Amino acid sequence: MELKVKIALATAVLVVVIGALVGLSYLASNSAAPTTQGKASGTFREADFSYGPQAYVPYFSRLPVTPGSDENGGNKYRLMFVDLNVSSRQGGSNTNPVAVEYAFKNLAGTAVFHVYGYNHASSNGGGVAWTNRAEGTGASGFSVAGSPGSPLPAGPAVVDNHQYVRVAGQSGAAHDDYGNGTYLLNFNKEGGGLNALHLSTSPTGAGEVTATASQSGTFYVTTDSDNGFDDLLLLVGVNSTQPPGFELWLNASPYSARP
Amino acid sequence: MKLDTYFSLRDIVLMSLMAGLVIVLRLALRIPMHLTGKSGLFWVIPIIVCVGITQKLGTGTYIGVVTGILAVVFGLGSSALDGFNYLVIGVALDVLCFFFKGHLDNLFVGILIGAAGHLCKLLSNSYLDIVAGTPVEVVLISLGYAAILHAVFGGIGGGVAALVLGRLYRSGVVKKHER
Repeated sequence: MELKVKIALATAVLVVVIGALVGLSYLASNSAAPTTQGKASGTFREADFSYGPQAYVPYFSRLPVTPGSDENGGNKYRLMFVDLNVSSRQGGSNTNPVAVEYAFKNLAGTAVFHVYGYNHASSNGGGVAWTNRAEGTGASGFSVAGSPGSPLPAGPAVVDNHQYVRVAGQSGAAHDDYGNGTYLLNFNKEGGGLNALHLSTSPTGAGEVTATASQSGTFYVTTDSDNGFDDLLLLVGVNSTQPPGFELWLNASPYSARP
Repeated sequence: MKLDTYFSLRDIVLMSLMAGLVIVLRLALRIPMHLTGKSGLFWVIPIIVCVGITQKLGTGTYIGVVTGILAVVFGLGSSALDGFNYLVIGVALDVLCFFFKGHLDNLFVGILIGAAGHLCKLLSNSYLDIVAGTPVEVVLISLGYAAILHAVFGGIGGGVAALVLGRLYRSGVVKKHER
């Protein structure tokens, strides 16, 4: 076979293979997006964790990242907010659960999830003013253990109450109340909005603290708040420097018991 | 066919040194680009150059085996299975170089071999991710973008290897066996 023929043949095979992979990738991206409200939240990498490292999650008073941990202590996490772009008001109910599918690739250390609720307008001024209880009676949370990790270096800004926060990902904030693509953490009194949301392994669960080593799965955001929420923000934290190739894939959608 | 008569002592020393060079390049060279597949820019070069010098089928496979073992020993990658990726790229480059035997100093051939070989490593890595439990759709979502980058960086590395081989052949340091 002549060299020119070999080059042409090899080039054609290479182009076909790359084209097929790009096509599969495109199909997988589209099939991951639910058809109802809410969208695939996307794939996130270490650079998306733009807050921290800090040992607390924001609320009126600082809450520990994990139950029993010291919110002023040394077990610090890098944090990011993810806009799930899903409302709890579905099918005539204000308390519809939201299913969150996650999948980690090359996770080092521990990843934790907390949830915040957003309403455009409410009696307390609106914004992000509801969250899950981090410890104590009714506490809920979800954590995933990865391979042994390494300490976090000193990081950028910490995040606290009454701050405007950016969400990770290319889609940006679904609700832009201030014209700058941010959400306002707006907790105005101790106890206010706390335990309005829960993280559970069941769509009908009242919330529990779950620790798993399963790198992929589904958990649910549930609520018993009568008013419901316009949107939900997921707070994701990691307590270790991540290796090259680390990815977190998230997909959120309203839960429906019907097949 | 006995290994010690198929590969000369010179061949074995050269292949082993090139396998070590791949590991050294992976450990020592840090390219400040946050792009997947960028390492293919430099570490496909020793394998292709070595195949072009020995001009024997099996050279790439030998380098892949030794590199895979060294990668596990030095803790490159996230698990011992990552050593398998080096074997895959070694075998892939072996087959491709055999297909283009006698023309490894051709720039287009070098680009094609580098791109295709590095793409095989991506496919192997993706397969291992799925075996390790990552959902298939998660792997597929990023595969298209990664495939393009792996082909580009592998192609650049292969092109450089072809240029190096061309200089070696023209200078007379290595004799080129024409088909």
